[in-house]
Amino acid sequence: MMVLGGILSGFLRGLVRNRSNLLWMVLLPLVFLLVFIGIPERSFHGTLVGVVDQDHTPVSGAIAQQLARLPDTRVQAVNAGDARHLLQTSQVTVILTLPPGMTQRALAGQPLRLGWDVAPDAGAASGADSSQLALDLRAWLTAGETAVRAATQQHTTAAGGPAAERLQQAFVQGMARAAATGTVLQPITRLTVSGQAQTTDISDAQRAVIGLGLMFIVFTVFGSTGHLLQLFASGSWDRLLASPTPRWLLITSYALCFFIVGWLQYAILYAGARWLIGVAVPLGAMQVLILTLFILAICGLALCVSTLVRSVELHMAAGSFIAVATSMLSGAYWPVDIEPGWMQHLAWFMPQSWALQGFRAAAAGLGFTSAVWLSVGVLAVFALAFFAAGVLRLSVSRTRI
Amino acid sequence: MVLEARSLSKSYGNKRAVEDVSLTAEPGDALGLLGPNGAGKSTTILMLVGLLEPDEGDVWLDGRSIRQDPRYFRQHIGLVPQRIALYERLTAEENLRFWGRVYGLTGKALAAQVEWCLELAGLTEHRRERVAHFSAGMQRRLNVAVGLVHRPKLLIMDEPTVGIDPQSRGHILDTVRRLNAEGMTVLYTSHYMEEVEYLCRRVAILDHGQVIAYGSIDDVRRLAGALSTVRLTLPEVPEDALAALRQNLTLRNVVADGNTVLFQTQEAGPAIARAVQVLADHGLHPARIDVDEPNLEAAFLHLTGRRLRDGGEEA
Ligand SMILES: Nc1ncnc2c1ncn2[C@@H]1O[C@H](COP(=O)(O)OP(=O)(O)OP(=O)(O)O)[C@@H](O)[C@H]1O
Ligand SMILES: [Mg+2]
Repeated sequence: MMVLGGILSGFLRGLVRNRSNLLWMVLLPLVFLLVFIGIPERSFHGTLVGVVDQDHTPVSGAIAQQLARLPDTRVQAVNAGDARHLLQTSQVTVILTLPPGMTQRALAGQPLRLGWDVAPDAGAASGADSSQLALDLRAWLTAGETAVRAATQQHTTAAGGPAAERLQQAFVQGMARAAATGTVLQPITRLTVSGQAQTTDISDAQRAVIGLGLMFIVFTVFGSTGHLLQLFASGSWDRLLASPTPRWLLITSYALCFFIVGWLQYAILYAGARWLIGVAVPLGAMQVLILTLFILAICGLALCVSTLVRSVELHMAAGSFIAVATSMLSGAYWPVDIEPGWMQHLAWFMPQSWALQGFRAAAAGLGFTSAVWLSVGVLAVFALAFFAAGVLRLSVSRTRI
Repeated sequence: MVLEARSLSKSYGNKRAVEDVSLTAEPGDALGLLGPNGAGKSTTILMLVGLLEPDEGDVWLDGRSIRQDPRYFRQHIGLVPQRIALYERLTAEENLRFWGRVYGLTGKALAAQVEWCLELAGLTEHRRERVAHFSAGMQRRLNVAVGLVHRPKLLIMDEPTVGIDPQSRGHILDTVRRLNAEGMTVLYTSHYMEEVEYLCRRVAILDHGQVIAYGSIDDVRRLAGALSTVRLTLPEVPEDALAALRQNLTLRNVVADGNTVLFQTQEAGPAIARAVQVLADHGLHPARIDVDEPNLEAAFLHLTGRRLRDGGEEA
């Protein structure tokens, strides 16, 4: 174990003393986080609803609040006079006007008419979002009206008429129930590489952080396995092999070094995302398992490549190519579903796809279910195969004089 | 500590790098392995320490075969590779500690050995400096010291003085000589015959993968007979002048080396007179004449008709 400790401490010392590692492992990932996730996150991409509340009742207030609670939706109170201008300048996607006397009509069982004005140049995406919003809103109002009708009937069979406040309460509760039902029935939109349908509980920002994390793990692991090539070239590897330390222990020790560096890289991105741009990526037992397997797979792959190429530069070039290409193909930058079919099939062979899918399945609260186990299993196979191949290549690779 | 190599052969693809090499190093021995670039010295050494499996032959250390007990070899041999096999980003001390651990040292023994090695390499004052900032000579000295960190009984060095200043070279040679005097067996590879003559009692001369001479330094020297080597420095060495010299049967192994003509001869005096005469016929007058008594260089020249070091190639 002294050997393991010696190799680890020697390797980590070298890592820290290499200034360029500060750039590659810390600065660059943080800049990427800020530029590609942090700033877009601040400029809001969802639907911005301007609400003109001319009714000023608990019911109209509740409608605005409930809208605000929807994902990717923001609500802003707006004056009737400003509404037109805001729409024209696209500062809001849609204006919802709650006219005076609206609540009264609702409680009296009369049909409601609300204002719904969509910005003229709302892009396709936000146009779709706003029509989905309109549907949601309609469902809530219907639920509210139904609740009011039920309350009225109950009370007429009992004594006198119910107080207006009671009916308002009934309306609001009815709406709330409808909204709750809406979240239970989330649309199953995304198909994963395994062809399984999956709810998307992981936000776009989180997915991007994980994607970046996985990509930088590839960069860093390849960068640090370049160390092996230096050992080969300097004759240090020969010297290590000529020592009484068994070969398997040497290989395991170095593999552990690279594994630790991979984790370190993820930790840097995780912390950066959390405290720099406020995106918290879930990190439970499942995610740790997935990352561990992913990093092992990449270490194995990097070991393989290091025995195939001759120079550190070639090794890093291979690493960069693998990092960027696999990230693109596996949905780290954008959802896989927008890629052409053949590309989606390539994703089957990318450890990243499976890691990402595992993250999503785990975050979706699927727990230790088949979707998660499938990802874990495939990653484990990747890790085992690459690692075995890497170690094998390393143990038969000829010493070079 | 008896090292015995029997009929080692090794090919890289079609190229036969080492052919039927047999060597023995007795306890306390200092054996030199001398040969020009590409002679197969490094290949032989890699087979001796078990880094390369011989195609044929076997190596024995204290009666144990390397095929059966490679661990015994690894524990008792100290290897100094031809290249600077160190961690550049670590300091001298960190390197020694690292390699000491790899060789199974711990605790006090490790600390003591690290001190000893720093002293040996003359790097005690520079212990906290990183190897990357060292001069070539300092790196070479540390490279040697690392091979000694576990106090091996047999030290195998592959050209440990390539490309360094005379001072560091002298330091390394003296250190190794002292360790040998204290009982460490040494196998020293070089293409500098002065180094081998200074350090070693016995020598094996390797050329094209084969041992062409093997024995005590004196015996090998005598292989060249009582031949002296004569060096004539000229303004230029035209081919026809060289051909004319070769006509003369008393001048043996006539070769050109830059602006110098070398030949070997039984009796230096008359031979020089004859050579100067021939050169004068070609309008050439030596600026300088040197005569070397019989040595390893002469033996190599005698055996192969070539110089040990080809002019500009050495580092
Ligand atoms: N890995 C290899 N693959 C192919 N040929 C090789 C390899 N290593 C060495 N050789 C060849 O084998 C021969 C012997 O090489 P070796 O390195 O043993 O010589 P050497 O005496 O150590 O030379 P030098 O003084 O340059 O170190 C050379 O011709 C060399 O080109
Ligand atoms: Mg060599």
